Amino acid sequence: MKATGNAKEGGDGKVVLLVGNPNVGKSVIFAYLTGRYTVVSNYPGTTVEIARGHTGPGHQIEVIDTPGVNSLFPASEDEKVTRDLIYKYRNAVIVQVADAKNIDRSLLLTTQLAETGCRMILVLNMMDEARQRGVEIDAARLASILGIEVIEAVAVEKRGLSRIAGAIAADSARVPSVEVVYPDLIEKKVLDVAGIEPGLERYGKLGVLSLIAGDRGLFDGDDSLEVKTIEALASAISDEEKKLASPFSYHMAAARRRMVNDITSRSVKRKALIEAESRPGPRRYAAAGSILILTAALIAALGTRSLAQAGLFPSLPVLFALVLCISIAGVRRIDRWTLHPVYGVLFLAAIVYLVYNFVGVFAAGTLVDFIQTGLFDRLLIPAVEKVSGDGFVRDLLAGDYGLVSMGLSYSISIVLPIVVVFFLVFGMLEDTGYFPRLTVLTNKLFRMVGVNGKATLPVVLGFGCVTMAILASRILETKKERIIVITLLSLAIPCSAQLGVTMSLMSAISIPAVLTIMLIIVSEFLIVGSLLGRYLKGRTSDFILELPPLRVPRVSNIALKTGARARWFLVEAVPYFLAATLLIFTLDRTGALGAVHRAVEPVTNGILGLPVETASVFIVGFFRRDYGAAGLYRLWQSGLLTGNQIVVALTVMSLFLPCLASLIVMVKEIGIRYAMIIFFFVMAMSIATGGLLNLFLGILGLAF
Amino acid sequence: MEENGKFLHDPVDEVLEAVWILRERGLKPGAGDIIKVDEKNSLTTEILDDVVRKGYLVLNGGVYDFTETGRERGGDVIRRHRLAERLLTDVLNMENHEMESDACRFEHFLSPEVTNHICTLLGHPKTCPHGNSIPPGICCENAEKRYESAIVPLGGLKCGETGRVLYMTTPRHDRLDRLTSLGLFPGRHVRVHQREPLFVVFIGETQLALEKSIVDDIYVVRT
Repeated sequence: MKATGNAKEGGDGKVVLLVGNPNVGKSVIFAYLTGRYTVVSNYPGTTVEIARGHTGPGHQIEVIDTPGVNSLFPASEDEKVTRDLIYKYRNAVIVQVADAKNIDRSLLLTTQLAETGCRMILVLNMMDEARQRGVEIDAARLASILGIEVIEAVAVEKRGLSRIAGAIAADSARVPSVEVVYPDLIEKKVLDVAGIEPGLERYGKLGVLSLIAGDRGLFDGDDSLEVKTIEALASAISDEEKKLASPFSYHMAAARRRMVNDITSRSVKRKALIEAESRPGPRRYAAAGSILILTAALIAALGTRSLAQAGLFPSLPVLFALVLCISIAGVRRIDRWTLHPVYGVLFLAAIVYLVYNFVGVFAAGTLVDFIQTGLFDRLLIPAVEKVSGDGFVRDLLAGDYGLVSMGLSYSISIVLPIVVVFFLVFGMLEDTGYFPRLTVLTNKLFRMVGVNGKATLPVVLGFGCVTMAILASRILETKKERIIVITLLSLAIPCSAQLGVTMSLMSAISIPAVLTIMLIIVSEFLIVGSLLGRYLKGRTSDFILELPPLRVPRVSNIALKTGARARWFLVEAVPYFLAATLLIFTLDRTGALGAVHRAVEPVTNGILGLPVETASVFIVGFFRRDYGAAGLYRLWQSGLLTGNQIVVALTVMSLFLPCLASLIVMVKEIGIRYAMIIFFFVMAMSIATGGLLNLFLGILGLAF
Repeated sequence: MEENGKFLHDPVDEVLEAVWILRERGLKPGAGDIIKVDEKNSLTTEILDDVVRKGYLVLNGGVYDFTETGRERGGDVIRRHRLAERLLTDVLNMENHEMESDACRFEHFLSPEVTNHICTLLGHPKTCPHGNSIPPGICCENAEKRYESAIVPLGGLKCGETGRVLYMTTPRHDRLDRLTSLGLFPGRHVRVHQREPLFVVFIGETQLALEKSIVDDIYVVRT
């Protein structure tokens, strides 16, 4: 995604780029324009795959939804993507989507976009919320100051969206006439640099400013520029900068701020609103009472039933108490409580309890049971057996290693329900804006493992799908942080599929065994994380995170999101199940399976003390570790594993590489070298841990 | 200006200032280094000998080091200079070159009393605009007890209090850029919502979560 995209992509055809701060409604507008849906979320980093679609009569205009940015001087990978897209599609029309209530921040970005020299339109979204908060924007005035068309909108209610489509169709975008005036020393520098390297011209003023601000990333891979010239310029600039009291970037930011203050003072009026909600009153006591109700419900739910027996029914009081608490206290107060060191933890506990019951007990138990026995064992597999007759086809589809009886059965009946329900719950929490708040509580924990609270977002997503989480790790700012998080995701974060299968196995083993496995995984997470944090070179970034306002989730949004993610899972993961099954089937048919068993026997039997049959389980575990865990389930059902062996095998499988898909994504994201290091490290760790566990259990004479 | 300068300069201060800066960079300053580092080129080896005679410096194998009194006086000079820089750039918004020469004059005529008042007014800043550290004075040690600072770090505000950002001593550009793009910059009103386990602040309609180390570099006036 370099600025020097080839001319074909950048030149022909009309392209519209949706650009804006995070969480301003770009994806909603994208969906309206193109009729295509992208995963809409209200925390940064969700638009990790660039969404493309078409709009206009005849669908000849391409629309690209870019990741949200606060600045075109990027801090993290996902911010770079947007800037590079702007330079790749040099003739594109930029539709800047702004959050009207945060107009100042949007205008900071507008001034930067103006400096790229692109033609643009400004959309003031969320005008209703701005008005409610006393922010009155004179759009006509703003349009004349900026020199571009300004459209007022409320995207979620589809208000003003037809005007956006109209403006795109009518080609009414203009290069903004507004220009930031920098202090003389910078303006002079801009002229100097532009004179020395005329190749910078195509980057607009922003390109020269980036260089002066010390950012050379923009020019990586541009062959038309002399690398030496750029380097010489950059080092001359930084020499000069050392003599100044504050860096060039400081003066630039200051000038930009002054410009924005000037624009808003002429076009925005702010009415002071009286904040009634912080005053004490009966509602406040009612709110305090609701906290008590929630606490009581949680204690009662945890006290009366052991966790393994919990389910949908006993969790209803907790859900009811949570809803009651939210409705009594009101969203704004809940907004604050979720950040509170005590109440926040209470909320977290209630949420984890509900998620556990919904995903772990209801989906992994009831739902899986229903689909597996009801659908597959009773209907589908007998039907396939009947149709395929005897011999090879039957074995291929419904045999011991059959594509339907093993591959589809595992992926559709065990893993899919769990993943879908997890994504449903995750989508709901995501839509409320809860996750960024969670980082406030978890920051200190993540500081222990060498990253900051922002890592909460990919790690929580990792409980759903590690592959998606590796993509989402782009929101982290430094390479070091990404490496740490990706390593921990690969090693110690079980995805929902893995968790679900493991949970169904847990009924086979005792509570102390479950606790042992959990203890091992948690301590590896902490130990590996803190060692990497201490010894890995590179720096950790600041924790500065915007918290979007908490809001009531929208059903349509959650449904669309869950649907999109389930589809993604079907397309990305199910083929791996089938491929792995086919491999095992082929090995079995050709008689090679026995040879493979013997080859890995020193590991499975020698180090881990497991029966030879587990070898095939570990082979499919390479494709997907949840598939491996499902295989363990089958072995246990047929009585081949002892209690200790299940504990050892499950520990190894939990620490295994998540799946082949995650490895492929890892290579794409951090390069083959790091991906391979992580791969071998994770494999070695999982087998070594299993071996040691086996050894200790033997020495201590413990049996689960 | 030149005459004025000559009149005001005490060469002892110039020498101590130069030695301080060199030592701060981790160097072992010899006579040549000291003469080179002085911006006004007014120092000679005779002056250095004089400073040693007066008991501010000791010469050990060609390397100058502070005596007890020398370190104290040197620290005071540096402190006056850097506090003046802070005052001139951040509070009075002066440009670099004029600010520098003014700061040089300030360092000679500020009385200890006035210096401490400026330090208190500025909220006992720890670094100058160049990012070098400011030696703490008595006022900093008793910061809590004696005066109420007009300017305090954002981290010093209690929950529910609001302050207007006056200046930021943020050492890293990227952090400064980031805070700016999120709307946290001089002139904006910031309300502290919560202090633990992380700082949560409101700037207009934007709610930000920040670590303590970041808010300690942002200086505000209580409003």
